[in-house]
Amino acid sequence: MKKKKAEKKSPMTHLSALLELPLDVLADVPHITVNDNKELCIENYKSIETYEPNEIRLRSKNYAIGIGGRDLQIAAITDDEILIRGIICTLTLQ
Amino acid sequence: MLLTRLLYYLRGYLVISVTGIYPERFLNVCANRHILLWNVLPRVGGKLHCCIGMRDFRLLPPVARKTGVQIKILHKRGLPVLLAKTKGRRVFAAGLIVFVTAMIVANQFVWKLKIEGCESLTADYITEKLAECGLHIGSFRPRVDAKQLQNQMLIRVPELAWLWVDTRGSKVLVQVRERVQPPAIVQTDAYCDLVAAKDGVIDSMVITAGTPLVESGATVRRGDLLVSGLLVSDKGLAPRKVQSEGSIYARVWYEKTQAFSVWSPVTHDTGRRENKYTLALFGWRLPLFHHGETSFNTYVAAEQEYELSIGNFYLGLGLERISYTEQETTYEKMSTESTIEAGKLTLQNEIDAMTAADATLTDCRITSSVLDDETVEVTVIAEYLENIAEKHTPTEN
Repeated sequence: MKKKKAEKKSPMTHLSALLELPLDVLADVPHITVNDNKELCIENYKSIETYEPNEIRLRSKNYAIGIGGRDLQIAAITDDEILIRGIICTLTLQ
Repeated sequence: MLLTRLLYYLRGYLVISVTGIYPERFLNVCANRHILLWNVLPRVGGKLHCCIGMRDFRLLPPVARKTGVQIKILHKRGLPVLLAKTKGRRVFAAGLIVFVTAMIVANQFVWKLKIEGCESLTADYITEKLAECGLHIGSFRPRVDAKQLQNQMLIRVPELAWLWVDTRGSKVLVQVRERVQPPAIVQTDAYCDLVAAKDGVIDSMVITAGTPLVESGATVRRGDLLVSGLLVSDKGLAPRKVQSEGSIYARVWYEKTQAFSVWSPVTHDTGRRENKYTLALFGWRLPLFHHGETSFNTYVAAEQEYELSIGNFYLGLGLERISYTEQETTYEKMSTESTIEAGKLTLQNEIDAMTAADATLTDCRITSSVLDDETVEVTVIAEYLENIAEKHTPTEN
């Protein structure tokens, strides 16, 4: 029987926990802010995989971020930040 | 983001259409090359519409080649586009310059004066005094020195404790706070007695100066001497005159009887409304298609003011709307109990107004009798505990 591999934590994650600093500052992980179900802001994303009115999929450092909803649109996009507006129904991290 | 958008509006921006098999790649490459895109809208058939700054647009051809998309300009927007449109129209440009200049010049004057915080003083009185100090409708705004105005006003109007002048464009907001007047100076060496201000039965007495002439439980009538200011010594010294001081609490009864009709007036809207508009234009008020009052006999008026301003900066133009709603009074028959209850409240309020501020209600009795089908007579007898001591200087004979 195979043993389950313990999830490996990066050194930056350890340092962040040690110094009690926000994870997104040190470890470059996505920082997701949701305002109501109308607005969603993701910092530290990597790229857009899919862009459709009812689904947006983004790639981040460790996993994919899926946003499901209606009338979704990218209100603004820069190299490390993306602002999405519309009716947001689901948010999945895989 | 708003500032960025404003900057791009001033520099000019384009609305573009991006068509290709994989437009998401175009977005990723733009993001990596620090090209700001906003309002990215997906369209059918692998199409995207988005906004981009005019200066950034020249960076797009290499991105389009790399990602295999076609780019088409849909609209040109922003201030440079607007200015380019007016390039050949000299009269329009001249008119615009004249208008902007006129607005700038007109806004150098005070066109609206608003006074807040008046209690006993009237706004007209404050306005008059402000005019004496140099602030009135039409004053040259840069010459209005708020600090100097405050000092002058506080000297001229002794009833004021504090005044603040806030200039918001052509509107000057003056906030005032009135001074709490000090109590009248009591001459402690003046001789006086304490007499009963009302009929009642004395409940308790606290005498700090003078000779008490009554005791608790005594019945007194209005004008009866309660405390004498003449101190007579039992050791043979000469009598001394002092100012009597003290509180004498007595049970005082008030009785009021009144006949009330069972028909109660009820006011309600008829549904008819009239709006009167007045244009406020640099201090002048121009009524728009009306001559003042409404044609309704009974009405409720609600006033609303719309000011043309940039942020807090008033531009001297405004619109006032007075909405008149016609009212109609009908009479509804109440039950006897409701009439008695309404009458009781009315009489209690009337009695409350007759008592001293520190009086406390200790007992209240209500009796009623039906006079006829439409009238009920209500009697309220209320017992209050109140200070009935009143200073009285005896006349010297």
